[in-house]
Amino acid sequence: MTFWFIDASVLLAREDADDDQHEAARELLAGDAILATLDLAYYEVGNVAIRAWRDVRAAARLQGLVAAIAADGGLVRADETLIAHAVRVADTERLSVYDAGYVAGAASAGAQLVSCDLRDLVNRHLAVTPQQAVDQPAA
Amino acid sequence: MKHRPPQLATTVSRRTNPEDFSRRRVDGRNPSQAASVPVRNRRAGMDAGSDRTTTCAGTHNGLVGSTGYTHVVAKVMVSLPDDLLGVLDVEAARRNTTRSGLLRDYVHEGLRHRGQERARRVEQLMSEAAHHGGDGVGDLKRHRPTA
Repeated sequence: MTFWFIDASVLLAREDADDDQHEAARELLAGDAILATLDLAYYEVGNVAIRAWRDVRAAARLQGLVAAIAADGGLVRADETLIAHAVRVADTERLSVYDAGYVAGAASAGAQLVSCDLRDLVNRHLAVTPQQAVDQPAA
Repeated sequence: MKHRPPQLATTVSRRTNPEDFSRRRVDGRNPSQAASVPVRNRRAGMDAGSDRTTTCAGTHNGLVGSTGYTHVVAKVMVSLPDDLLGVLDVEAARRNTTRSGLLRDYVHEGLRHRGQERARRVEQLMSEAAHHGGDGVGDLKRHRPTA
């Protein structure tokens, strides 16, 4: 069974029907694979829904989405060790600590990171897209 | 079912299933050595209640030493109260399988069921997903706090 660690961009793609990765994100989240995300996702999806989209209902849906993953035992909480790892990754990969936090979270969980961030994560082989994840044969 | 406090790990010497004795360990360790292998390592930072294990390449996530994985079939110790172990053995016999086989089936079944429950909840929750312009990554990065 495959274990995917998803960042906030995948959750946003699941909500946004205009997103290129919308269908793949939907398929990924509707499958029975093991999923996890970082507690940072709560803040990030809420921030985009309220600040960029100005959509309170979307914010509620996205919070519920993170809560569903958490209820399934898939919420990784940032702690001193994870943040220290994220800072090292941010430094070596020249990423924001936010993006590096997901990279470190996936590593701590022993999972593959999934992201829609092509420039900073996918093209640098730090993550795969939702489409690549759903196209991958089941383990 | 009568509750008893959890027992110490069921050791190799307590195994009664012929399947467990007949197979040679793939990693070349004998059973007494196998008994000293850590069953799992709890991940720092994982939500309480999750018992997922790490991969063989444990060092990439800061864990050091053997995780007990053999890449093929690992032998692990599982702590169970005697009464639950008894029920497990009765059920294994009833299904004409082994204790290990039954536990494997239950793990697969449990994980699949849990994933399906989450998927059902997500589909229900997201039935009104809307159109937001298709630039989630850009929106995310633009609205992160900056110095």
